[in-house]
Amino acid sequence: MNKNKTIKGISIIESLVCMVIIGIGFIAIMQLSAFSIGSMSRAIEKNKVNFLTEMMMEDVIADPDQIKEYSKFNERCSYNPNNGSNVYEKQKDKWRKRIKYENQIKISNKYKTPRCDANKDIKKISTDAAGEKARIKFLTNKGKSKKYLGLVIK
Amino acid sequence: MIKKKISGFSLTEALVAIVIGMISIAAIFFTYQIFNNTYKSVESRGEMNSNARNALSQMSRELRNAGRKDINWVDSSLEEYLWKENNVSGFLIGTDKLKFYYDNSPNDRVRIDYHLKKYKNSNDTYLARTYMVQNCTAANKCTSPISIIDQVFIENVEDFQVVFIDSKGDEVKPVNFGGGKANQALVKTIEIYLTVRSRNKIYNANKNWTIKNADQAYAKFDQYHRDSYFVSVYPRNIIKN
Repeated sequence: MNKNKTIKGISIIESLVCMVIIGIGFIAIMQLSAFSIGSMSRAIEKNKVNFLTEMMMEDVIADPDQIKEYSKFNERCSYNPNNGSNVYEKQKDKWRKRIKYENQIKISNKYKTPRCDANKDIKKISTDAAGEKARIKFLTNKGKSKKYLGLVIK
Repeated sequence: MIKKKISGFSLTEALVAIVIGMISIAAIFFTYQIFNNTYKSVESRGEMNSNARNALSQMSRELRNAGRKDINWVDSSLEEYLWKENNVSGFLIGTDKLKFYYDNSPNDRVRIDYHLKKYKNSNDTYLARTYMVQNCTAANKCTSPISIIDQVFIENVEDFQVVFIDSKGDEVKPVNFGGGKANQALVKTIEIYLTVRSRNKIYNANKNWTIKNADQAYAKFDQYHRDSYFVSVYPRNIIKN
């Protein structure tokens, strides 16, 4: 009895399809890794925002009689200083410098600057009519990262 | 009799498979390397951030206590609560030293010092915190400060600056227990600046760095990453005094 038996290996098409599937899996893992790195990076940025808002909050607490003057702080991305002589103007100018990292860190002859979207990244202080409460609103990352801080001053 | 026809890869197929396989492995290897470097960099920055945040939070809490007088304090001479030394010698950068006091109980006065220190056999520096307690049994009868804790507060700190601000928004100086004693009461806000360096080298090539905190600037040329952190503290107890 004759038996014709053909034993075939994997064809090139099959092996290519296999590699494409493995490649898709690999890309998925890489995306996961990229997302986790991005999350860590965003956490670092949020930490910076925390430092900035806490600095603003502490400065407002230190000057409770002028609380309404701080409500005029409403910045997007220009951060032009007022150069006033009052303490609240000096503090607000200090915030502007800190928010835009003015002359702080220069790497390879280029100053480090934060990303800012003039339409969505708002840094604002609002107060109540009695001048007893204040609220800090700090939006970054095209308005997606939001930080709010409420204060009862008096 | 059984007739077998065995057909495996042809030489061309095998060569194509090898080339594709090698390209894939190279792509995976380089992608992994890029991700690994990015991860190390972000992890290092995260570690710096976390350390700075914890340290500055604790420092802020302690500074808010500066100048606190216990209502039953036995010693009448409590006038020293804030002190700063500018441009401490022995460091490449003009760093500051901060010292402050507060009462812990009617008999105990706490003194805390913050200043840079060098590691052994290295020019690298860290921020040191020294916590001391002075015990008083009667007016003007206090022990010398007893050193309780001398700790590494944050690793790899390159610069530590302290700025005292008065009610007009101007800098107060000097503030110490000598000629600047009266200036202690003028301090309304304390600004703290820290520059922290990464533990490991994270860049492939040297980079030029210029860092400026408050009035001091310094330069470095190496493969480390750096970041600056700052807080403002309203010393409530000094204002009450």
